[in-house]
Amino acid sequence: MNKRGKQFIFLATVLVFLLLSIKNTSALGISGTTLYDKIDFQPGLEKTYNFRVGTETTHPMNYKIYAKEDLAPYITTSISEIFVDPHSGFDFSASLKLPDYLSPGMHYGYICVMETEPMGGPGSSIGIKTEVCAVIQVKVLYPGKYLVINNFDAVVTNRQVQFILDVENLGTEDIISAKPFIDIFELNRTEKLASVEGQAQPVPSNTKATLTAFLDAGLFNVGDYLAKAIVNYDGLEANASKQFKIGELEVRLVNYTKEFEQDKISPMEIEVESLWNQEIKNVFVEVSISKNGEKLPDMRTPSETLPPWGRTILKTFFDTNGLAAGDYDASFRINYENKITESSGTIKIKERKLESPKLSLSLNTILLLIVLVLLILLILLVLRRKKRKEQQ
Amino acid sequence: MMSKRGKIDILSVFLVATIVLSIITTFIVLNHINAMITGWPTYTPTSAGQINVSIDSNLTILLTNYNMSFGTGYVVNDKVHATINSSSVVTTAILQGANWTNTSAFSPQRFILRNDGNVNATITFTSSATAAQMIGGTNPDFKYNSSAKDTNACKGNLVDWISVTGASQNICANGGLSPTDTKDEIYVDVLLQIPYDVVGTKEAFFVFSATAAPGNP
Repeated sequence: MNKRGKQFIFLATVLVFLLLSIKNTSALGISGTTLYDKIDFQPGLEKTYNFRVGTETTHPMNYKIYAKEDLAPYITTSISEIFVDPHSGFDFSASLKLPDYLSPGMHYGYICVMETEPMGGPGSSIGIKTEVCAVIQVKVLYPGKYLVINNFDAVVTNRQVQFILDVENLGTEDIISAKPFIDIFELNRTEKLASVEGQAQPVPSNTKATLTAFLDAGLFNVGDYLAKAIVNYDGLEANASKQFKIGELEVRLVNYTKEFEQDKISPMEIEVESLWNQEIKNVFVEVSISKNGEKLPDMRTPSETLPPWGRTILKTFFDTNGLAAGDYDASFRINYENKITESSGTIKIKERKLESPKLSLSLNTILLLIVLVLLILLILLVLRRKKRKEQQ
Repeated sequence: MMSKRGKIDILSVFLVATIVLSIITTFIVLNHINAMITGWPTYTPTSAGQINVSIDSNLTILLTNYNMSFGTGYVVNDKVHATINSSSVVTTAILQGANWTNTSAFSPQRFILRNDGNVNATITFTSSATAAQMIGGTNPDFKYNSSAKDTNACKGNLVDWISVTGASQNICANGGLSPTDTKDEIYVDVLLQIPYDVVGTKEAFFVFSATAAPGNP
């Protein structure tokens, strides 16, 4: 390489290092005593929050400090905009002053800091700005009794299903008795299979409670079910529903083609059975054949839908051309609903018999042939007599 | 006139200085980020042998790449549109560079977001433009997707290729982005469907918004 070429490579290396030293990162952070404050509404409540903001940019940046969401009119910030050097930070405070009235329910105020200029220079198809927000959540109670179900869960064990209802009284009055009633349905069916109920318990104003009920799982087949819960509280009702499974979704191998002939492409039929009470879509089988550890190319059946508790035959084709006769190991992977059931067995490849042409004659043909032979014999006999007469 | 040896010596010094500068810059930046996420511990001895420390909540979002450029190119002749995306994932539906002829390097970098604070975060974004506003033409599309960089990052709360609306949209919902090192980083990818009948530079910008989530990480 000549001198100029070496210099070019050297300068290019320098340029690469210079480019690597330029960081393509940006960071924005906000910190404070709390970044998610949950408050129960009090008319005229005042509260101050102190925040520190840390930044990480390649160049000086302007930041906007503002409040959003429905509590924004009640929040003021000590600064609304600030220009900051790279790798720097600033402090600010936000004051909340709640009004005398807010409608019942949850209200939110976000206190946010946002970059005002998009990062990413000319030529960027997509540039970005970053924003970080602290949250104030204000809960306003409903007048009277108001129970909500925050979560409804079904924990299934071998013997029983435990229904768990996380409830909260968002009303201003105490609830003396909250009792869960749960109806069980097979999924996508309207016929009610069973009903269970749990213990009643009080839920004071602005508190949470957990209600439970139990179902004997042994009474049900495996499958998908739906639980509809009604919580009766002092003459009022709250509703929720939850889908749950009893047992394990399963498809099993029933039977498969076990014998094949050499040097042929033959269908391989694989019968599978659903042990589930709902339709199972996209069921297919992958088949691996091997002999003495040597694996043949895998085969796969098309996908089919299995009816509830039903069976179906999935078909693929096995090419035995060039394969030696004998026993082979077969493994079957039944794929369905993100699950796989594996089974194994053996198949046999039989030697191909060389067929000798068979003479198959019908009775009519045989009779015809006999008649023909007799006719020929008769003609020969007649001809012989005629010849003898001529000689005499 | 400087000798050949002299020139090489100067360039060598320049190279070493650049390497040192790069290392120092990296050190300073990392040091600064660490300082930023630590919060303000305040130590107040109240009696002999007793120390109190209060640690602030901190929400810091780090964007490893903020510059997604698809370069330049054009829609292949006789095709109604081209589809380009920043993801390395190629499926039948989401082709990378389908029907697209590059006239510059095609290497859009994915956005990488990391929760560098100490609270769980909900991540949303708002785009400055929709497909029609940004790209225009006949049947344009502008989609985004969020996926885990760290295994289990934002598990169950990610978004699979949906169209950009211009309103606030989820990237990692329900306070799903943990500050835990092993699951604090996600990718955000962009897909553009470019019709045959548009030309010019097309740009948009996203506002990535991180909101503190209730509860502990």
